[in-house]
Amino acid sequence: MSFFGFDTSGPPKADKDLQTLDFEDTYEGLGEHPEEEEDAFNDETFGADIKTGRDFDFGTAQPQAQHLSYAQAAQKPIVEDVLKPMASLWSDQTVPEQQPQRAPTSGPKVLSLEEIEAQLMGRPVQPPQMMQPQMYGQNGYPFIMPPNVNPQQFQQFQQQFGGQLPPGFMFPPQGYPGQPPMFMPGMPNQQGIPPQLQQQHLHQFQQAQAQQAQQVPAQFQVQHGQPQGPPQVQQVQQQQQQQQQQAQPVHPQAQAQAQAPIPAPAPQPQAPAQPAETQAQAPAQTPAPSQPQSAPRAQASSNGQKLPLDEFPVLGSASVREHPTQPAQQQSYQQRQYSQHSQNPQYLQNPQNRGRIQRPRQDLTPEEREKLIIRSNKVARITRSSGFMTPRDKDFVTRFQLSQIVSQDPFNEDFYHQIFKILRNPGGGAEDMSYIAQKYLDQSGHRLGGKNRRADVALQRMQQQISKAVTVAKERGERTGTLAREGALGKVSIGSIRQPRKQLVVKRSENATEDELKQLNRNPAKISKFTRQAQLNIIEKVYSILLGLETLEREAKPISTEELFEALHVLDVVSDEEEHPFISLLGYEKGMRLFSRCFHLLTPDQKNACLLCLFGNLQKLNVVLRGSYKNYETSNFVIPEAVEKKINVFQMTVMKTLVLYISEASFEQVLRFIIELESSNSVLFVCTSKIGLSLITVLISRLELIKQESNANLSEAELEAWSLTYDKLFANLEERLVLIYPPTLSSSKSASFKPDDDSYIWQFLASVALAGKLQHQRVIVDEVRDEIFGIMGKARVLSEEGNSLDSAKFIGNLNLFLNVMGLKASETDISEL
Amino acid sequence: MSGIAAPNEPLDMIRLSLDEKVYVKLRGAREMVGKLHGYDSHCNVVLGDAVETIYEVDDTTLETKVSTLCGCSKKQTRTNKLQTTTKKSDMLFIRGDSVILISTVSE
Repeated sequence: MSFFGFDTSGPPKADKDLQTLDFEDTYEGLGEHPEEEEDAFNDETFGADIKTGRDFDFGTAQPQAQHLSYAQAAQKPIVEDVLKPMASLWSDQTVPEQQPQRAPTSGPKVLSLEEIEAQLMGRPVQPPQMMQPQMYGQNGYPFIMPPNVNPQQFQQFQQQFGGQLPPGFMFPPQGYPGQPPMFMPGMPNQQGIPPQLQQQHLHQFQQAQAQQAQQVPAQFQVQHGQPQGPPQVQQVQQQQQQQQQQAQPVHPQAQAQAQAPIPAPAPQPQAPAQPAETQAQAPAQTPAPSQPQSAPRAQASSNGQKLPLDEFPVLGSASVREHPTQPAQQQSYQQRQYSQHSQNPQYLQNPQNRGRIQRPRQDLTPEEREKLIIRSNKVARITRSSGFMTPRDKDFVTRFQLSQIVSQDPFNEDFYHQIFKILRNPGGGAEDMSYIAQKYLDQSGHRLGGKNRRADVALQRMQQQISKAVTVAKERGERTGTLAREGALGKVSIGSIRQPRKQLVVKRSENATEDELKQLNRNPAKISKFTRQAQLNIIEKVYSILLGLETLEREAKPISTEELFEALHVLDVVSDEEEHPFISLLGYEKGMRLFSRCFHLLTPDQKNACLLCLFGNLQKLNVVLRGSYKNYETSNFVIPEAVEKKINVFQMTVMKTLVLYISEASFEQVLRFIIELESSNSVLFVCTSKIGLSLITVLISRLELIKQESNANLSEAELEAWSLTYDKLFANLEERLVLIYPPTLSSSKSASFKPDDDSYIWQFLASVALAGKLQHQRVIVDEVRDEIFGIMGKARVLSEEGNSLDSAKFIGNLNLFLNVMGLKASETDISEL
Repeated sequence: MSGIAAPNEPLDMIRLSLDEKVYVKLRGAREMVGKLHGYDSHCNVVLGDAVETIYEVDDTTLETKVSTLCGCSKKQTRTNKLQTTTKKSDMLFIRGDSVILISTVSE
């Protein structure tokens, strides 16, 4: 025995030359012939789309064929069809109409094969008996039968069981090592056939469908009678032993077909020892001396030609006698080889595949056929993994995705997008559901309808999904947070966009009341209201209440402002040393913005209370307290930038709101404000701040406006009260009116300031002069005469410098005051209007 | 009534400082002072009018410091060679993973 021809018995001759030649000398040339030579016609024989089987790979748990099968199985709910080919093969043996369906043709290589077939059509018809074994070998036989069982056995077996057993019964899937378990007890419809075939043979097998369905249960009963092992295998093997003699003659013929296209790898004396030999040798080597007709047949198939199998006779006829006995050794080898093929689902599938595809296309032009093939391939590719999910699964997934973008409270959770939407599409957004649905479909590239004409259907579906998703989102919102266990530091939480997963959740006990919280703060009275912390807390609390109210307002729901008003602490009574919480709130920029945001929500009474509180504590107001130039004597009366900024913010927010409100308030209201202001504040100090002065101006102006507009409507008492108040106010300022001029804005003390800056002072003087009598006006003019002439001088200088714009502004501001008294100032003198 | 709601969670403390000036200490010997415009649960922070201060110790002085090994001079070199760089920006975003602490600043 030699290993690759290398003589192992002889001792090495230690010749160095020999070593170099060693390989060449001993090599028989097994590898010189590339595999392609033998494989050249595999495509024609087995089809080009066949995937290599993995039966030889015992390390792989799941052969590829099986993996594919699940996809196909899921794809085809009607599985009874699967069994039909068998039925056509075995149950209806005598029906000639079924012959065409079984003709083996190749799938992807249809074109060339058909041409060849067309040529073969002209050939003389072969005797039916001759063809039959080939049929078994090439087509039906390997598909159905275990390697050692031949058609003869099947026949007898069928007769024993009434001849109506479905072919699936005969297939012993579990009996072969390495073969995928094609027989699934839970899926009787699929047994015996690789599920891949289900689709491919659907129409072919429909005829026998009903019959098949009936046979299956009966078959199972028979099977269950067998106690051990796969029952089919047992039975078949028993049969096989009994009929060994009869079975043998069939094999050579079948084997010859199977053997020809595939090189024999194992050393076997009668099989081709050298795979490099041409295909023509394969049939020649097949020891079938008494089958002269089989040789050309085998050759034809191995050359990639196709046989006109329509001519083939019905299965199971007396073809056995055509083939005398074979040498035992070859038979066993061929059986082995044959079993390999039969175990390969791909191999099995192929002949059937051919039969199906070829038929309907015979009268098409090559181009059409090509298109058809391309199309069917494409369809197969697309539908390969379709059908995995049921409609319910799909709905679930869409709902799950949608529930992330749908919110029951979009203005709180998705505020900026909502505002953006309104800005982009004013007036739109009425159909929120359809908007989201459309958005989702666009974004995800979904076209559930497939074609455009069904897009609206998809949209409808999606809208339904969204309404469901809203419910889901609601439930989820209620659910979150409830997973926390009392006493446990952590909780099982699911993070979402809006609620990130928390690392630590400490659950506060439900019945922790306000009192208990009070106890936690050892001295709540001192902490509350007056510390910066407390003030900030108030602001945040008001903000959160305000946000809730604004949401309600947007939804046009009734609003209760009690809580908000309470949170503002307007009615709190504090001692003089302490800062009122409401006033302190207005000391923060965010508090100012907050005020103007929530003021319009309050009821008239609450608004009134707010303003009373504000005017009563005006001198404690941050912008007044800090805005008075008196604080900054050390820094040359220059108000710090930070305070200036706050004053600006106050003017833009609170002041605006107040002016708007006061301009519509009644005489009585405004009178109360100014009385409150006067009685509880140092008017002079308030007047040293811009805000204070402006507020007083607003109040006086409003009162005078009402007085002049609707004199008749005012009662004498009211007019009297106003007159009294004005006198008090004027008395406070008399002889100190110059103090309202900050040194930085006083033309007599400061050289440079902008013309806009002092307008509020002239406005104040104008309002005071308007409300006062002639004597008041005289006093005012007397007191501020220096300032008046100072401005005029300033304007003159600016005018001479060429800055007539600023000059005119100064004069204009001055005239705000002078015009009230019927005077008019210019750069040089004052004249009457 | 106490008048203030007790903070529910630590981040509520930061919420109080919204729109206020805050001091943010950062990894890498940096700190920021600026107006707090926003924050989130990751301590990502948006500051307006922020001033960033970066503290750096000169490596060369460190080496000399080690070589001298004198306690007094060590203190001296430390104070002398600590360099600070400041940067100003109108608005900036601080990623939360670098935040060490956030505190209010007395104005």
